[in-house]
Amino acid sequence: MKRKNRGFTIIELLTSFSLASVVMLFLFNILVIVKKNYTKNSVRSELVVNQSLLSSELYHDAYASTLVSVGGTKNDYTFGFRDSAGTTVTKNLKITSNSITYGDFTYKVNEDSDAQIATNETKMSQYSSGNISYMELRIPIYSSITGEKKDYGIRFVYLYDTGSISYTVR
Amino acid sequence: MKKNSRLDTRGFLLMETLFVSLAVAGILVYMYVQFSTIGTSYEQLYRFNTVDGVYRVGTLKRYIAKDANASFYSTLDNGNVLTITSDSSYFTTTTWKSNLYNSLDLSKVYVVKMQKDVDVRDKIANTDNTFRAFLNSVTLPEFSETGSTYLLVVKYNDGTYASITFTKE
Repeated sequence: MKRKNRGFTIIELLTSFSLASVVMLFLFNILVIVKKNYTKNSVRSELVVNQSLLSSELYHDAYASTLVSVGGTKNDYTFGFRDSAGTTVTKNLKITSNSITYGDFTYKVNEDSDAQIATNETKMSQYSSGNISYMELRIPIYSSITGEKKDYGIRFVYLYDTGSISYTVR
Repeated sequence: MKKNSRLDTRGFLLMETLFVSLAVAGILVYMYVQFSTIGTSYEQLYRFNTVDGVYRVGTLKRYIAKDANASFYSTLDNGNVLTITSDSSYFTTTTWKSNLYNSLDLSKVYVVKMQKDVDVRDKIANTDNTFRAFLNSVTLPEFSETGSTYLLVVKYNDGTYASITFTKE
């Protein structure tokens, strides 16, 4: 009866602490990984969401209205659309090293991220073959947030009948 | 009585230690599996059917509607999986097509016709196993007896995938 009241043995304490340490170490590792992933994914999400929004704007305008003209110079373009009522609307696309403005929409690169708009690699071109043509707009936005350098930029490829768009990009 | 008193003071039994260790290991394994699943789901979110990817495969769909010849549809109607990544015989604009593929950043392109009681996703995955994980996440439309529906799946050079269905125009 006297022995029963004497508390834990050293072996019991050592075993308990060892097990608790293993669990704590594991949980701490998880916490570190989760925090790291959260930071990584929030930056990545922002890049992907902005990419999606700008792509949607461009594709929606081009297909919902009719794209009738593309003009301007490198990193400063003007798109002309004709809506169902026959009214022509123009929208400007301006690209700088930290932002892209298209109509009322502005995509500003988060200063806390490592993302960069590669203004020297942007590209606007058109290709024709017989009665089919397509126009390509490339705006690379590079980030190494996932460990490897990836492009979260815009790749707008628009297919149209040859001659239906006035293309005057210089 | 004396024996019992001795047993009370000798620490854990082997069985007790094993039982607790197993329980703790089980919890850790369970947590690891759960976190891995979250990681995989996140990765799929960024790689499968992204907005940008779907718009681009939509452009390819428009190109097929404009430029694919009769043998394109007859080959598909015979139940074949078409690999139109490098094969240009189904299109009239051959050189231009490779420019378009480069602009769309396409790596691989497969087309198959939807068939009754056949999982066409398996047909593509059996042709190219790298598509299996993506195809498992794709929801197919109901099979229709009245029209011909085709499934177009693509892999881009950046490792993302996208799919779209279309009908013969």
